[in-house]
Amino acid sequence: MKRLLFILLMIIQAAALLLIPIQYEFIDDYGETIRLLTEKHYYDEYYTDQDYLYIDYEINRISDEIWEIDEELDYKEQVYVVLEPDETGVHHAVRATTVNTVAAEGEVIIQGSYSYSDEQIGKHFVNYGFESVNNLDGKYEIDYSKQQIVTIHLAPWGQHSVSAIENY
Amino acid sequence: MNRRELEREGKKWVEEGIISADQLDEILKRQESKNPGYLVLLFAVLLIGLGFLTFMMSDWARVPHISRVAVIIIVTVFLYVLGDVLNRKREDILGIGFIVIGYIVFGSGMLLIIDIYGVTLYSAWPYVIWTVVGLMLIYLYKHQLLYAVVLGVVTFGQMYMAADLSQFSWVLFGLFLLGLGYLIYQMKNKLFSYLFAISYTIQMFVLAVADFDQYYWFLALMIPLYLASDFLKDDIYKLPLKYISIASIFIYGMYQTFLLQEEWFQMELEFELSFIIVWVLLFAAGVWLKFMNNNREELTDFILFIPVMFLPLSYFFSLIMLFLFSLGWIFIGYYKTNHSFILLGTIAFLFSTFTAYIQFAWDAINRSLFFFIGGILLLCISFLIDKQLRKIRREEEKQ
Repeated sequence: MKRLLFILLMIIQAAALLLIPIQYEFIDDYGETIRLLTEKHYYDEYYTDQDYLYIDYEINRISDEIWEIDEELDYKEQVYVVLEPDETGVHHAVRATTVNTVAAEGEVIIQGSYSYSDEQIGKHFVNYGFESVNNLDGKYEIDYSKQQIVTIHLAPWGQHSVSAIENY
Repeated sequence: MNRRELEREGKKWVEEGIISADQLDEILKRQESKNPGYLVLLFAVLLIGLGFLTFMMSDWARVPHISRVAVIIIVTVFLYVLGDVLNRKREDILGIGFIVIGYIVFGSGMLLIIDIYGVTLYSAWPYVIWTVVGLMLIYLYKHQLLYAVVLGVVTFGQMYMAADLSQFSWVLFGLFLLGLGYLIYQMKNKLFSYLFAISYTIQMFVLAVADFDQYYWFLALMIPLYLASDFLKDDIYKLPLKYISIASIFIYGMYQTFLLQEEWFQMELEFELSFIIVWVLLFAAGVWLKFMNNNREELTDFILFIPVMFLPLSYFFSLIMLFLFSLGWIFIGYYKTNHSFILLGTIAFLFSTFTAYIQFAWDAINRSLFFFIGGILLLCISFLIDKQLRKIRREEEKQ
């Protein structure tokens, strides 16, 4: 009996460890694909070809007009940002709320954590988890002096993968 | 031969009448010698676990490829199987040590895979899986080291998720209360009752800070721990739970006294009716329990649980509560000639005085004078404590 439980435990743990890599293969089939704009910097040229790329997205800054949250948020409190694609297929933020709603036609809702607000420029900073891209195999290069488009696959179970970085 | 073989053979001998059952027990007890290698093994396990953890920070390990996952799975299963075999064949703790390493490798491996494959955590699900596996391992092996590690996993999980997500995991807490709580209840071990109470306190602190808007919810959340100590009759559970809850609330009171003086802190303070309702219910239950058990003098403990932060000059009242608690126990101790109570009151008085002293003297007097007078105060109170300890020891010798 205990032997059985031991073997069962081994199987459960192996399954838990394999869960994520297997899911990873399915992101492309099941998830949404969004294309996001990066922000231009004028000083970070030396950040290219690093092991980890840190990307600053346009949607990391949500402006006051679309920020539909009245209360004061704690650091890392969860917010939901609604994205809509424009004519070129690039997604921009249209709304930020604290409660999750059902996505309307063409909309994509992503979950982020609140960072801070800068009242002087009227922007609220939100992080989503795909700002840091694993670049150990050197696949990507990012040019901070230009605005670029990052293609991201989002799976409904919270996994993301970056598939391309191209110029705007 | 090892203990298990001895047990088996021994039972046969008892049946055949060669030795009596009592004699078998005596023989088996002699086998359980205290193993000094326990500590060394503990450190060995920790170091190996640390080694694996640091390896996982390396670049090779962080590429999202199935080969890395395969390595983690193979290492985990190998460690478990090795641990299981050693546990069955040998008498010492080596097998359990490897099981624990395997468990740690599993959990940290899972977290690593989550990281390299770019998964964002929106809940504490990896820690839930880790804890469930831990509980099943405890059921299989029932070793103290495992209990401690699983407790650590739960506590660490709560703290990390709160820091990362500003969320408290009720599932994890439920597993902690029902799973670990039940197991530690079965253990009847004082040390583990303490560890359980400490983990509860840390988790309640996390809950108060991460999920609730106002910090003072910690007060209401700690009352159940104190009530549990009244509920349980056995001293093995009663004392650890009671001491930890009182100590935590006292430290909370000390901090509150300092923080309530700050203006920015006072501005953040808001009145929440839900808190008052919950607090009144819990407090009433506590008072009722005290009267039921005829422990009216222990109502002194409840002085610490009174929410004073809404009163004007709240920091002053917070300090008053600390003193009232200390003096209360000193008086009760003298009234009932119970030196343990006097000792408790004196120690509490020491800390209350120190809180007051730091609060008022830090700004008011010269630094060197501050330390001087502080040292003298400590001397006096240590003298008083020593006197009480000696009286307690004399009483114990009489019995």
